[in-house]
Amino acid sequence: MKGAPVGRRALLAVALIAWEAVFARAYILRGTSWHLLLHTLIGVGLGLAAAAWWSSVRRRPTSALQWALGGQLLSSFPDLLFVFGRVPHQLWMDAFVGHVSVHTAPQPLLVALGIFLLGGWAWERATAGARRAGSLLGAAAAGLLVLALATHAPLPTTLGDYSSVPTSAAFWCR
Amino acid sequence: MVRRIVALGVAQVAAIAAVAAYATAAPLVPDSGLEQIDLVSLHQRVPGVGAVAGKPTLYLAPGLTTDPKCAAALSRYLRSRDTPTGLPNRFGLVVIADGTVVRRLALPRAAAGCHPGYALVDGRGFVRYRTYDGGYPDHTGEQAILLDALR
Repeated sequence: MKGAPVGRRALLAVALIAWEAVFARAYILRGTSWHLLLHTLIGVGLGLAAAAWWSSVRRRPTSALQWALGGQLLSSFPDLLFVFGRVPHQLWMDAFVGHVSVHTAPQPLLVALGIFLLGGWAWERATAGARRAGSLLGAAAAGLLVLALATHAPLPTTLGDYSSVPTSAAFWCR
Repeated sequence: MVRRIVALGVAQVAAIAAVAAYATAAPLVPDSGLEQIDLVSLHQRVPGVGAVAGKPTLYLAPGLTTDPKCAAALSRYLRSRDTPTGLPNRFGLVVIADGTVVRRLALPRAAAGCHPGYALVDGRGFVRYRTYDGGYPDHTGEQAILLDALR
């Protein structure tokens, strides 16, 4: 977007805001704001980490927009498949940056926020020319996801598995 | 560089604020991350639970219907049955009145009256999915996608 005429940049900004609004609305209408936050933060964070890496490889700054959007789409693809393709989630969908298993990782929303923050600073550092710092921060973002997936609780296969995991009854029943 | 750092800072503060705002309104990890996960991972028989007329069936635990909010949600859900916004008649629907069955379906908070949920049963009577969903009357599209997968 850098260097584009003002009219084109404004159009891109409007298109981006419209897309994000439509995207968020699809989740909110289904009562799944938690999933929206989870997959958006992970996707955008990893997209920016990838942008940092690409910027380091090319030795010149990379625009964040397409990487962030690409990451968001990759991370949310199984949800788009559910809504538009009517395909329920399946374990193979972990290919999309751990889409299924990350739900049962320890504190998944905080992990997602960590990935987002690390990915953002990775991109910033790499764009500023601090390629080593950018690469390290990007690797930390990816490493955080790997660690979360390595320690996730097994997904339930029987109804008994649900009672073995802690619930938030105190919150809902207060 | 300053503009870039400011833009990044704004985005990151917005993300932190969004997570904080969410956490004040709902559990940070709803139902251990399993609420509305839309993954059919069960295959289990449960006493007192079966398919209605061999059709994929939704077993609804609406919470205590003595609670006006729960009663209104249930009434709205039942009224919308087989309308464009409701659950289609090609699926069975059972409203569970027995708290024991609700607990067998691993929905103890629904049995306690505080949080509705449902279980999905395939045409052969196996329980295949269960979730809490406080907004279930508005999520019939999601329920239909999952039930269609059980046909």
